[in-house]
Parts: sequence; C-alpha cells; structure tokens
Amino acid sequence: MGMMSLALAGCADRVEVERLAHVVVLGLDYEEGNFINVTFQIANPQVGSTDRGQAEKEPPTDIISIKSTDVVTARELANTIIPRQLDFSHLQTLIISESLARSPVFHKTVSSLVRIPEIRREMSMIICREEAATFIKKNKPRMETRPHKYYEYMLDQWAIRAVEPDSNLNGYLKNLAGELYLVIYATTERLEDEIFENEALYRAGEVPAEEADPVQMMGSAVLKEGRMIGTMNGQETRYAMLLRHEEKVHSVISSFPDPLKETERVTVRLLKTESAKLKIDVSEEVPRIEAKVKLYGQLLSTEGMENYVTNLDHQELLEQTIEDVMTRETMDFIRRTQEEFRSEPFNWHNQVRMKFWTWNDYIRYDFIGKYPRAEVKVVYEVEIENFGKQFEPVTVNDKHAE
Amino acid sequence: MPFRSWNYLRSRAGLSSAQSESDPTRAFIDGQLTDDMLMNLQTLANLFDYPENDSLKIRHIHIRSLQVDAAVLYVEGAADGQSVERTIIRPCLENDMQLDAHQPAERINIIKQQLLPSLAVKESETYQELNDALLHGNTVLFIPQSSRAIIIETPGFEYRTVEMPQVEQVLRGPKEAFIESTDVNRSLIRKHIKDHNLRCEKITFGKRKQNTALMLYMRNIADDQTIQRVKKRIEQVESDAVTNLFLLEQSIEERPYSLLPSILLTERPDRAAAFLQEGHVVVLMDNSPVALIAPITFWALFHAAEDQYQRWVVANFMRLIRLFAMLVTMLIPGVYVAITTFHVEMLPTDLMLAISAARERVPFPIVVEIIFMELTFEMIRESGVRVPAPIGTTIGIVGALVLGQAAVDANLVSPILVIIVAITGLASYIIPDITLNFAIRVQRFMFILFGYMFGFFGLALYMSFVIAYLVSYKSFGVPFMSPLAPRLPASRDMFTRSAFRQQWLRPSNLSPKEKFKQHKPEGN
Amino acid sequence: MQITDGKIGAREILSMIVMAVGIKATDTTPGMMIKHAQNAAWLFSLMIGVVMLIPFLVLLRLMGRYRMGLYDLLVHLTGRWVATLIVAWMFVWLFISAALNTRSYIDIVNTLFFPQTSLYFMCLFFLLFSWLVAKRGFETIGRTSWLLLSLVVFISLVLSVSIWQDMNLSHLYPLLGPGLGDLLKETPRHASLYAELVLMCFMLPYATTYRSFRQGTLIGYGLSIFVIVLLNAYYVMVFDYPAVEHISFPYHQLTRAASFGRQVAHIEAIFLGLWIITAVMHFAIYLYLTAYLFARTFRIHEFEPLILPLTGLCLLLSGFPKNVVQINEIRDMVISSASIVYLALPFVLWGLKLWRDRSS
Repeated sequence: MGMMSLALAGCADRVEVERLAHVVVLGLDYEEGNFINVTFQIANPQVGSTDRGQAEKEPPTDIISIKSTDVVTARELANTIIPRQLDFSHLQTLIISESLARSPVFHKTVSSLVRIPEIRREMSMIICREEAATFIKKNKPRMETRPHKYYEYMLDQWAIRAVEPDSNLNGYLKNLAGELYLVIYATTERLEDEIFENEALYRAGEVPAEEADPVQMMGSAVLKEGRMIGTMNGQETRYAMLLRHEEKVHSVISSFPDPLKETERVTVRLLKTESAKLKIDVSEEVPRIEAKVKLYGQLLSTEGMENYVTNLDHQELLEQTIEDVMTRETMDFIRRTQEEFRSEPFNWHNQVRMKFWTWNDYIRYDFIGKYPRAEVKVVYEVEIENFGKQFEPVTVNDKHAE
Repeated sequence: MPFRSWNYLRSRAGLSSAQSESDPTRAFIDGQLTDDMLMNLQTLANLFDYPENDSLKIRHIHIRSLQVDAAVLYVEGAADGQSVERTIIRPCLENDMQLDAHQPAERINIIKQQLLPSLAVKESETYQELNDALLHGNTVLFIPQSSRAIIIETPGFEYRTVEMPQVEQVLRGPKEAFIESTDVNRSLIRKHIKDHNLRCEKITFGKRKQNTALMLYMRNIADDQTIQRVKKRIEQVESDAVTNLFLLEQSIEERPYSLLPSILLTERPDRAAAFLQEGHVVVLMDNSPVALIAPITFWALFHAAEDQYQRWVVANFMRLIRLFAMLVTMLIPGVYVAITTFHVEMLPTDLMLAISAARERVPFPIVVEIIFMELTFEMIRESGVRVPAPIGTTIGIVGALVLGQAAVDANLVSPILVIIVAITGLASYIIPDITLNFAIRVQRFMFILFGYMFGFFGLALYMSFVIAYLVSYKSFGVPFMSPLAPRLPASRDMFTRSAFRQQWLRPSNLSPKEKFKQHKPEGN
Repeated sequence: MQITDGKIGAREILSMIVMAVGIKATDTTPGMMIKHAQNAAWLFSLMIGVVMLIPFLVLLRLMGRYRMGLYDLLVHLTGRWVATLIVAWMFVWLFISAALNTRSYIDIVNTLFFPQTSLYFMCLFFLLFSWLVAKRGFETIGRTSWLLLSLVVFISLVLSVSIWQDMNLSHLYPLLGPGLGDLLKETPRHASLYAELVLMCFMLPYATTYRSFRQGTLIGYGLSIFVIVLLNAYYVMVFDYPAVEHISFPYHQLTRAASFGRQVAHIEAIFLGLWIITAVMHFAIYLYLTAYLFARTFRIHEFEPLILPLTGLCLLLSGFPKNVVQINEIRDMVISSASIVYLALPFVLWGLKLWRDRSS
C-alpha cells in the first residue's frame, strides 16, 4: 500500500545537491522592533570549479538580506526569491554586528539558532564594527574567489598569532555565567588613528595598510552574560590567551622595547610548549591566583643593531626585559579586567571548579563575584633558544680584526 | 571357425532387429550373458543398432594359443583403437604358446592372466555392465560357450594438455590447472598429496547410473558426517543430464536461489589439495576442468591461492587491499547517492561545490545517472568476455575511457560519477571468486536502492540484514562465517593471516579428526 | 555437529550485552542521567553499574548452583504460578520499553537527519529489519553482534580521537555534581537501566557452558559500563554543564563536533550509519527476548514465529507518545518503577533457596 508510494516517491528529505543554495556565511543585524536583518551569502558552485562547469558571467556569491523575526522565517522568505533551496549544511561562519551584540536581544537571537538541526555549534562567530550586511558585501578578498575559503584560511591562523581568539557558538554557550568570552573582532572600516610602535596595540580597522583586502581581523570583542561590553586590542587578547590553562596558542611574534637602545624595538617569536601553571587558592575570602608561564624565544629582528647573540650578558638583559615588559603589561591588563569588565577572560573559573566537590559549593563561592578583588600575580620565564640564521648583525664599516 | 558375415550370423541366430530380446530403448538393461556367444553378440548389437549405427565395432579374431575364436567389441570414439590393437588383438593373434584349456572358465582365466598385457582387466556377466564398460571406452572380449566376458580398459577419449589456469592466476605459485579428464585431475592432486590416507570413492548417480563422480577426502582428517552428507546428496541426483561439475554443483547445493554459493569450484589442483588437508571433500568429474569443494566458508571465497605463497607482509597487505576493495565495490555507489541526496554536509565544501557545478548541466537525478553508468559498465564487462581476443583489449580501452568521456561531454553524467564507477569496477576485479564477485555486484544495486530511499539510515539497515544473513548461512552444516563467527579455534587466517609457521591448527569449524597441521612451534 | 547446535559462546554473549546495555549511552538515556546527576553523570552511571552488579552476581551464583536458566530457576524456587506472574510482568515491562525506545531512536534520526520524512515509515522499516535479523535465531543475533563488536570499538576510538581537541577535562569538575547524597538517592531508582543483564539470564540454556555464560556476561557488562561512563564524560567535557542539560541528543551532537581538521569534518552521517546497525541488533535482542517471555507466560513452546506479531504490536504502540518529552517522562516512570524489582529479585530468590535448604 504505502510501500509502493514510498519506493516511487521516495523519502521526502531527498534533495539533489544541485538544487541547494549553500549558505556559507550568515550575518545578523539589529533592527527596530522585534526584527533582525538576516544576510545570507550563497556560494556559486560554478565559479572556481573545474572548467566543465564554468559559468563565466556569474558572480562568485549571491548575497541577500531579509528582515524578519528569526533566522528560520528569514530563510523561508529568502526562498521566495532564490530559486534553489537554502541550505545551512555548509554554514561555517556567523557574522554579528556590534550594534546587535550590544543590544539586549543578542543572546536570544544567537541561542535560538542552536535549535535548528542543521546549525552546528562549531560555527565560528565574528563580531564586526559595522552592519553585518555591509561587512559581507564588502568582503571580497582579491585572491579568494570563494567566500568560505577566506574564512577557512583566516580563522585557522589564530593559534600562531594569538591577536584574535578562537570563538565559536559552542564556546559562547559554555561561558554565560559571568565569565568574559572573547569573540573575533573584524571590520572593513578604516579608522585613521595613531600608528603604534607596539604592533599589537591595534584593533580591527586600525592597522595601517594600503591597497589591501578589505577586512581586518584583530583584537576581540568582549562578551559578558550575553552582551558585548567592550573590546580588547591585539595585545590584551594575546595575554588573555597566554594565561589560559589549555595549550591551544602555540606561538606568537611580538616586539619589545630594545633594552639598550630606547627608541628601537626587538622582535621575538615566543613559543609556548606547555600550558600556564596556575596556582589558585580559594581557601580565603579573596582568591589568590598565581600564574607562571614558560616561553621559549626566538630572536627574529633587531632593528637597533645591538648584539644580543654572542654577548651573554646582553642575552640575559634581553630576557629580563621581555619578562618585565610582559609582566607589566599583563598586570595592566588584569587591572583593566578587574576594574572595567569585572570578570576574567582566562577561563580560570574552570580551574576553580576543580577545587570544589559539589556544584552548589562552587556557585556559593561565587568566584566571578570575588574576582575584582582577587590578588593576581603573574610570572614569565623567558629563555631565548635561537637567534635565526645570523649571529651578530651586519654593521657598516665592519673592520672586524681586533 | 571361419569368419562369417554378420548377417549370416544373424540369420543363423534366427533373430531380426524388430524382435530382439532386449529392447535397446529401455533405460535399464537387464539380463545376464548366455552361453551362446552369438546370442550375446546379438543382444549387444541390438542395443547399439549395429551396423547402421556407426558406433559399436565388432572384430572377430582367432586366439592362436588357445585355438579358439573370439569377438572383440569396442565403441568407436570411446576406445583407443591403437590400444585395442596393441594390447588385445596383437597378443591374441601372435602369441603362439601352446596352451591347453578346454573349459570356458579356464580359458577366460588363461586369457586374462597370460595373454592380455593390459593393466586393468576384469570379467562380467551382465549386459548392463558391458554396456557401461563399452561406453566408457573399454573393450569387451567374448569367447564361445562362456557366459562371462572380459572387459579391458582402453580409454581413448580426447582431452587437452594441462595448461595454465585461466581464472585463478597467480604470480607466485604452481601454474597448473585441471582439465576435462578425471584421471589426469586426480593425478594432479596426487602430486600434491602423497599420503596413503587420501581416499577416492567412485559414485555413480542418475536414474540410468550413467554418470560417475569421484569423491576424494583424507580419511584421517575429514569428518565422517560431512563425507556422508556430500555423498548422499550426490547419490540423490536423479537427472541424467548432469554430465559435469557445473551442473552437479547446482543439483546438490542446498539453496539454489540464494546469492551466496555453498560450493566452490576451483581450477587449481594446489587449492584442491589445500582444501583436502583442511578436511573438505573434493569431487572430480569428467568434462569439468574444475574440482568441486564442499563444504565451504566465506574465507574459501575470499582467499586467493597466492595468499599462502607470498610472505607474511606481502600476503597481508594484499588481503587488506582485497577487503577494502570488497567494501568499496559494494558500498561506494550507494554511499555516493546517500551523501549527495541526504547528507550533503559530509562533503568538504570545495568538493561539494565542484559536484554541484558539474551536476547543474546534467538532466537526470543522481540515482538514474548511477544506474545508467553501472549498467553500461556491466555491459562492457559482459561483452569483454564474449569478444574474440584481438578486439578484446580495444573494447576495454574504448569502453571505459572514451565512452565515459563522451558521456560526460554529452552532459549525460557528471565527471565524478565516471570516477566512482571506474573505481568500483576496478575494485570488483580484485575479488578472486566469480560467484562471490557476482554476489557483491548484485548487492551493490541493492545498496544503491537503499541509499536512495533512506540515505545512511537505509544503508545501515540493509547492511545489518546482510551481516545477519551471512552469519546464519550454512554450507553442508558448516556456518558460513566460521571460524570468525562463531569463534572457533583455528590458525588465524581470516581477514589477515598469520605467519606460516604459526598456522599449526586446522580450522575446527569442519570438526577435523586430526587437529594439528604441524607441530606447535616452541614458545607458543 | 557441535558447532551448529544453536549454542552461543562467551564472545557472542559479551557482544550481545554490549549491544543491549552499552548502546544506551547513545540514545536519550544520558539526558536522563544528566538531569539527575548534572556534570557527574559519568559517576552516576558508574554507581548504577556497581549497584546492579551485586544482585546480578547473586543471581549468577544461584544459576550456577542449580545449573538452570532463570525461568527454570524461578519455577523451581517460587512455583509455577508466581514464576508466570513474574515473567508476565517482565514481558509487559520489556515490551513497553521496546516500544518507547524504538520511538525515541527513530525520533532522533527523524529530528536530526530526516525531518520531513514520516515517522511511521521510518519506524516500520527499522522494525522490519530488526525482525529480519531476530527471526534468524538467537545464535545469529549473537554472531552478528560479535562481528559488529569490533566495529563498535573502532567507532569509539575514532570518536575519541576526533573530539580530542574539544575536550576539556576541567568541565568534569566539581566531581560530585549535585552532591554525593543526591547521587546515592537516585542510584537505586535507576538500576533498571541495566536490567537487560538480568533478562539475559533467561538465555542460559542457549550458552555452551555456564562458565562461558558467566564470563560473557561479566566482561560484556564491564565493557558496557565502561562505554557508558566514557561517553557521559565526553558529553560533559565537550559541552559543559549547564549547557549540556539542554541538549536533546548528546551523542549525535557529539558526532557533529567530531572532525579531523577542517577538511574531514561533518562526518556525523557515518556515525549515524554505524549507530543504526548496532541499534538494529539492540532491538533484535529486545524482540527476541520479548517473544521468549511472552511464550513462557502462556506456555507456548515454539516462540520464534511470535516475533513477527510482536514486532507489529511494537510498531503500533510506538506511535502512541506524542514527542520526545512525553517519551522521556514515561520512560523515567517506567525505569523508576521497575528498578526495585530487578534489584530485589535475586535476593528474594536467594532467600527462598536458603529457606528451602533449611526445610529439607
């Protein structure tokens, strides 16, 4: 009876692959009233594929923005315009505008996304300064025709630069109890601010570059309890990563003031091979936190032409300077988190959890509430282990015979 | 006695063909020989429609040493003429020993023991035996006043020489194959097993008892119940049309409608010998360049002969590739259909976009594409078998490449499908046994169907059924997947095999009487 | 011949227990455990395992002493009528569980992978294939499970490796979750989650020897508990409490997180396929046991033909609940009400045995 129809008509979920419009980027913007502006970026399979399927005149992506109350209804409305069925199975990136992130409806918008079966919790989350629709439209990197490639390549780099965090939906949903959650911050706008000597101090949009691809990703947006409360520049983001207990950040390249020449800087690659050692004491009213981070350095560039290689005293001086500078900057950063954000971005609460036996005990302790008053001490240990291909720098008039 | 013409003899006997005593069309010929040689001759002549039917030949001779006339009968084409001349007629005519015997029984004895140099000589009293003997190429000797005749073996059937195997080829290993003669085949096996425990039993079957099969087994290893089962099955075959092992296989198997075989036919004597030593039963028959092996397990179909002749590393690598190929050929088309219609998220984005782009121009849904390409491939395969050799290779190249390319250019199929079908086809050639190969090919279509209907859900459901079926299948009482499931003691030789020195146990799923092949090596 | 006499060995029993009990880590059971035990769900499942083990050992001992399967043991110790009553109750319980579980499994597949397909058809097909496997006999189920066991181990390994980078050990803390007291209170109420262990004892006559039965069940049970504990730990480690409490189907959510780098990601369909195969075996075992219990209740000897009508009834019954939430509620009720019986039964039998020994 129904078997025949089943075999012939087939399963209702069967869709041929070419009938799907694959949404690879989703943008969310704030609108007045109960609405959000949902932007879908659809990849065109015929651009960038083999010659056989090539369609010369078609654009590589199709971007459409719909105002609706939630993403599912927006998709249905989009299907009245786009002939193929919109499909989220390859959706990897979520772009949210800063205005939406700072609004009270942010959390309910994002967390209701999770109910849709095709949405994945591993989706990357990016917050952009301007409207997400504008961001998506402007993001046309010159060498990446397909949109998803750009995000794939870009987001994989975070572990070796650490000026941006790794943010996805799953992480956001795990950190809603008052901790700070850092989300990638990106923009296509250009802010002509000052140029820093310390290159990590920029945020997205401030990097002085010309004739470049439109998007800059640097620094992070800070989320607390479901709302964006501020931003951090690249350096602060980096410290937030370094002090975490998990090992994900592998290496960073950073510049430090040259100890022997005040106006110059020294660039070092710092490798983190083991996780930060944390000692958290929760026995008293105020938590005491001690963090020790061991880093191995590789000297990459000395603009000051000083010899930090064969001169052992200079080596030690360099190491000491790096440690001091890092400690100072970290303490400044921690002070900022304690005073301005009143919470911590280092996932230290996970370590604190390990000190209690039951969940209720942990909640009663209220680590986040006590954090602004906590005593934090950070110690860096830097060892320079190699110096690149060069020993001493090459100087002019090098009459070496002495 | 002077030679007379046959018709004279006939008229003397007073018989005409219409009134013969024994009706030549009767299925079973009964009756015993009489004292009258002419009567005997007449009966046999009627049976064979002599002389209109150019098959039976009668030669009258005079046995010199006994001074008695005799008649030599043989069937043209069945007996070897030269052999008849050399081993029967010449000695009888030329031997001039003066032998004194007057009783027919004595004469028969003397002829047997002193005159005939043939190896196999026996006596007979019944027409049925004589009929069978003549048809098998033997020669019959009559002497007057004797109700017994002598049968001498002079088989003269033509058969080809031992050649290389055509289907089960190996790079390393013996390269002999069975031919259509049971005797030669048996000798090929005997070369491998020089053991006095190797028993050969002749089984005649069919209503007219015309067909013979030769059953071989190792008396000290094979299980009695298995032997009895096989023997009984063969004996129960009623049809007379079963003249070779291919037909015999279909007559004795338990499940004729199942995709899986329960009997193996192999053309290699070394494989037959290996099976004998595990406790299987081997059956040989004329007109069959194969040996029949019963009972079998899945491993008999999965293993190739070469696996044991290569070293451990090489053999296991080949086995793993074969296992992988088996899974690929069965599942890949189904998986492809399932992924592209239900589970698109599984593909990496780039690949998916490429497939989507390629498919945009193709008018048919994916499942139609696949079935079309698969059927085309099957047609190419079949035609490759029938095409005469010189054109054969061209068809392969033309079919595969050009046809595939042309189909893609004509927007009938997408390019990735050509690759999938090509890989599937290639992988299917790795399976050594033809029947298993065929079973897997058919299963592929079922998997495509289930993948189309329900995606991975359907594939998984069908797969569980297939595994359950495999596991519950039995061949002559032996579970098909043993010794893997049920787990029984055996040398580890299933999906992968252990080193040769570690294989000291016979697989106990056949309940062998002798459990050990070699001595257990030290330290195990 | 000894091999084809329909008996199953330790290995087959081992794998059947894993299919019957271990697979519970992959359906809606973890949801239930997390609801009661928060992030200590892994500890909770371990505790239930230990609690259920003790009566089971008692039962094993009894069966070894008398060399009888559970049914014969019941008849011998409690008399015909009480035994029939107990078996009838077990039949009803198992049957309802089977129907509920079928519905919840198909719900999972329906929600996550085939949202627009009719639930009824999927149930039909699923039960059809379970029936096809079950009707081939108990030793077939055993052998197929044995063959699939290596597959199960392989999937677990692959899964573990692929979610390695997302796991965070600190999420398991605080170790005791809601507190030891709460855990201890809930543990006996959920013991019947592992009740298949006791039900398998009905099948002792099918085993080759008592020793192989004992080995098979104990090792299988250990392996099942290990898998359940491990998977519960994974869920918490990847999704973190309290977020994990809101996830309806943690196992499949986990497979969605599984990836080997960015290219080979989104492989949850493969895990679905392998999961369905083990689920078919799970329900084949259920159907077979249900038919057995039914036959024993009504004194029918040939029970294999009963599997088909019972499957049909199961299909009908599984259409009754409206949705997953309702199923979870009913299931909670069913589990809690039955636990005490499964926990107490072996002790009651032991007591009867002692009393019988003393009076004779």
